[in-house]
Amino acid sequence: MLFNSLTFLVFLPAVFCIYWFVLHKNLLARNVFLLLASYVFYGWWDWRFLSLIAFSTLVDYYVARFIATSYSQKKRKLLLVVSLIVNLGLLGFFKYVNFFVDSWVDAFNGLGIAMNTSTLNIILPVGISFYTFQTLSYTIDVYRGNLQASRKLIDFATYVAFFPQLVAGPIERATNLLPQFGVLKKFNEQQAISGLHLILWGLFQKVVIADSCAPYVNSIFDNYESMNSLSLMLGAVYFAFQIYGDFAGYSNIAIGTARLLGFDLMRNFNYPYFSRDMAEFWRRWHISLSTWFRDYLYIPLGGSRGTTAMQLRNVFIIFIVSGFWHGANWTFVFWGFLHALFFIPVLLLNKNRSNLNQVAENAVLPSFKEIFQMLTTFVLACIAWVFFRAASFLEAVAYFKTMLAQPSFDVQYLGIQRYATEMLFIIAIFIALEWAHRTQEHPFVGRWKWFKIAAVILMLLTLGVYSDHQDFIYFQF
Amino acid sequence: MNKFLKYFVIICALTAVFWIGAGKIIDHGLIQLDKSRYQEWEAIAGGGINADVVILGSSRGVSGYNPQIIGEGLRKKTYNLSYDAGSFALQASKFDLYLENNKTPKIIIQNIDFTHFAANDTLIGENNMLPFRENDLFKTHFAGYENHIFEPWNLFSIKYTRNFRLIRKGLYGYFGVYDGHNLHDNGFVSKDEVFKKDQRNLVALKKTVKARKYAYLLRNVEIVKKSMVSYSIKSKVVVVWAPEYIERYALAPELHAIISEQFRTLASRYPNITFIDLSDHAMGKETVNFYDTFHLNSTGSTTFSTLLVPYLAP
Repeated sequence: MLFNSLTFLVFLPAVFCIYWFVLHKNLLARNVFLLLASYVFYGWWDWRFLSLIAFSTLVDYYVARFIATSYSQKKRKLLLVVSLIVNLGLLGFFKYVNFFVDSWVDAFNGLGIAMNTSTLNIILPVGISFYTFQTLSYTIDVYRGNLQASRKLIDFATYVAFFPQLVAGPIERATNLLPQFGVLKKFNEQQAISGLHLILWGLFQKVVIADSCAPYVNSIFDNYESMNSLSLMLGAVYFAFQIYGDFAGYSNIAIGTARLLGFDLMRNFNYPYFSRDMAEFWRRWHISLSTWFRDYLYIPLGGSRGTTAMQLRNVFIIFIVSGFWHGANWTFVFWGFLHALFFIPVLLLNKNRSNLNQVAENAVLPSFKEIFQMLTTFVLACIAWVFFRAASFLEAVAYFKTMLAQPSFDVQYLGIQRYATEMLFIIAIFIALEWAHRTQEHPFVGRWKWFKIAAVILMLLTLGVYSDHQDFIYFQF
Repeated sequence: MNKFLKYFVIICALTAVFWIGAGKIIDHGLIQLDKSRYQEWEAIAGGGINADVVILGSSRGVSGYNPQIIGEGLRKKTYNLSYDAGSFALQASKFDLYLENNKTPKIIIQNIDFTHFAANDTLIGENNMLPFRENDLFKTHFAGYENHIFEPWNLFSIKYTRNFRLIRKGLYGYFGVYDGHNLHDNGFVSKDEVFKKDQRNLVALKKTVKARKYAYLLRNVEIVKKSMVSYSIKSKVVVVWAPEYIERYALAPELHAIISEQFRTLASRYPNITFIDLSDHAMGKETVNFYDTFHLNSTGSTTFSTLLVPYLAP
């Protein structure tokens, strides 16, 4: 079920009404209902894969219970390994088997050894990367002693399958979300209203920004050989806003939906394109994933401690694994590698924590230095996005070659109805709105709140994509 | 909960108001655009034309018949009701809509040519009808064609969503800012362009002739003839074959003979129907009169309209 679909438009109010008006006295009934609603939400896409979620839930629930009751460190470690093998095994099978087989065959073919093998026809279950990481974090936290193992299977199953964030995050830690299922919530008007605001803003990001950019991006990337430098640069910029609008939009709708039901999810995006360096970018982009990798991979590897060589190794590992998490393609791996390259100068200069505050904190406009820093970071992100979007590594390289070989900056007709100038105008409005509210979660605050709400609704109605709505990009991950 | 519900209702109400309001503003703005097709549809459906002489045709009608010249020559109010790229059925539907609220014309000029009899069920230029999507008259006359705008589901959608061109034009019209697109003068569009060969049209006709696919053309000729007979009850009907560009005419002499004979016979049987065949007129040999191998340009339409007046005069 998509957030920007009519089905969800019926589903959410129905869940809201039953949750608050019918089941307002019984916590267990509420949690059972949320679990069923979440399974319906997921099963709407493909009910067969519900068994995977249920299996993953049962394994981690019982493994965590055994870990919690076991006094033997060796046994605890063994149980953790079981959880890792099961979860990463499922993820590896559904997401990476074909990639490894193909890469293996390609490698041998490259050496002149002909190999013929067929790959399996495996469907990637929606959201598997997200809920796998969520359940893993629970088991690891229980193993580390940071969290008590849940004694209620329903609570835990609801935590794993909680529909607002099940298929594309935020990847919630059990320490934050799981205890919330243990409390009979009372309706909080401010929380629900802020949820409405986030849903509205998320919809705008998705159907106006991301889906408006999508036809341009597709047109440019599909025909990059015939495009000039300006179009190719615009293609990267449009994709930067497409993926941001798409993913941040989804996250905001997810957080907003959860708030309507009285749950607080972690923030996933914090205006990443206003970052002054790559370290800041990664503190603001897909926060739930980057903090997951930080806590469960980077720090265990030694983090920024140890020799320079170890620090560099850790940075490369975390970024390459992050790239690989996104998809089974060398383009994602190289995307991660590029981000590692962009991150390393900041790390080596010991400036990775120099921009912890908000940009232009007490000013309306940024300084020239800040503008330069933000533009540089954005350009670097766009360069990496080309690899992320391209169908193959060689296509991405060819994209840059075409851009640089014969510089030409004439405005090209892109074969779609809307004009580039109007699209850029929409993006400019979006940037201005985000800039003006960069210290807030969303723009619907202050004296002009209703004016902004009205303007966004008007833009949703006039500029949104509804007839041929696009899937959320991050569903594929 | 009350505050939240109130908030939610306000957001829904705002959405509803904008949903309807934005559509109405753009509808109104488009109709305000002077000499636009939107304004023309408004006049056609609303009875704002009431011409004595009405010209029917497709794109050749739109660019070939200058109503000002014909009107001055006949001293009658003349309007070019041709349907750009429209099939004969669409032309008839447009005229039927016209007759709903306009007076019946004294003279109907029907342009015909080689492609006039090709059937096409598609509603051409449907975006021009967007301001009238909810209008029952338009639904009655055009919903039967292949279209997107009159489908029941679309009636609930947001009319101009992502249609930047129309949103912009509608706002221009609403705020009275001039917009120079889609101009016509009493239905006539003057094409001030030099000749450019249109191979596509020639090839299409060549294929028809080569395959001798005349049967369905003749079936459609019968349908057009029936319409002419029906029009002739209340009006004088003049069927005109406007000058064809020589290369095009030379492609299908046999087809021309078959069709023209049909209308010659029709005219001989009905006193209120006249057939004027200028298809091989000398002006068809001069590229200066055409903007492509199919359509008259402004020079050609001036010459042709002047040429036509004596034939139409009582």
